[in-house]
Amino acid sequence: MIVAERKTIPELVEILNGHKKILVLGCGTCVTVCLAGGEREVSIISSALRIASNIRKLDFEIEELTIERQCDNVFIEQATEAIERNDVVLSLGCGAGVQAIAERFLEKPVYAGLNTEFIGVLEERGIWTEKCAACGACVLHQYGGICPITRCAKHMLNGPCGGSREDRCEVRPDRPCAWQLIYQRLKGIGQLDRLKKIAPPKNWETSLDGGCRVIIREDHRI
Amino acid sequence: MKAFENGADGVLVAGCEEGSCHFSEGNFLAKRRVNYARQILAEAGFESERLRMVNLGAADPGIFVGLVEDMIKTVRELGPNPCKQADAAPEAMPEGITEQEIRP
Ligand code: SF4
Ligand code: SF4
Repeated sequence: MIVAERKTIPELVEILNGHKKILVLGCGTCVTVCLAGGEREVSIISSALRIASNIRKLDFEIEELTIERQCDNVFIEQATEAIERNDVVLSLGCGAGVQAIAERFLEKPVYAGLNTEFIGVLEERGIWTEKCAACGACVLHQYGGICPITRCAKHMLNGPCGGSREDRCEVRPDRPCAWQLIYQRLKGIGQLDRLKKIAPPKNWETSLDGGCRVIIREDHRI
Repeated sequence: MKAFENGADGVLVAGCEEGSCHFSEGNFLAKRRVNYARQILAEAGFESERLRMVNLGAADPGIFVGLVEDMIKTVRELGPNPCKQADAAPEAMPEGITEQEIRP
């Protein structure tokens, strides 16, 4: 899932300052699961903004709404009336959600209330970790299912770098060395031989370096 | 958060004694949520001291009274909720609950 974190209330106040009728729009999918932008967070952030507005006399009028998914037309339609009756939208969706809303309401300022962080998993209660950088040409099969691009701080395809201490990454000692994990995992599944092959430089054109990506499925087009 | 938005001068969240919660760790989790709410209130420019969580046993009326008195003292020192002041012409700080009213 996509993992995000809320911006601070002073940051949001600065973004919204000068506007009156504000729709705080939540998303019921990834950002609900990572406790950043679901119905509950919409309620908490809206309350905080009303309190800040009262104290600083900013005159905010805040409406709250959460739709199932902000990156999907079918659900965006359900927010149309609320978006139209407000001056601006503070989206608590991920970056894709914010842009999906903005592209469909050309006259309306749409602001991001969250910082979209990464594609990851819930590791344990209250802890999320990054697992995938969406490189567009997955190499997980070669590394025992552990992504060297995302989880090695140096993105090394032929690691390790030699700087790890015990099993910790030298760049972030709070995180395990990805190459230690890759080695253990490949050993565990009897595929250590994979490490004898030198991986060629990765073609980053499938990633962001090749420009904004698009997928076209002719079999599904009308 | 809603209580403060609607003008409450203080909110005292009372949980069971630590270790004796019927929902096992419910009171510990509640304390974390209350701390998070205090952080957001502070970010909004609101005095986070107006929100407090205490833990005590169900059969501790004496302790409860002391904690409530302490909360009232904090709120009296802070004055009325600033949201109320911004909404309406400032009034004198209400006298609040008298000691007789909170004694069991
Ligand atoms: S190799 Fe690419 S697609 Fe696969 S997990 Fe890593 S970043 Fe994601
Ligand atoms: S210590 Fe391990 S994870 Fe960290 S940069 Fe080096 S190889 Fe990558």
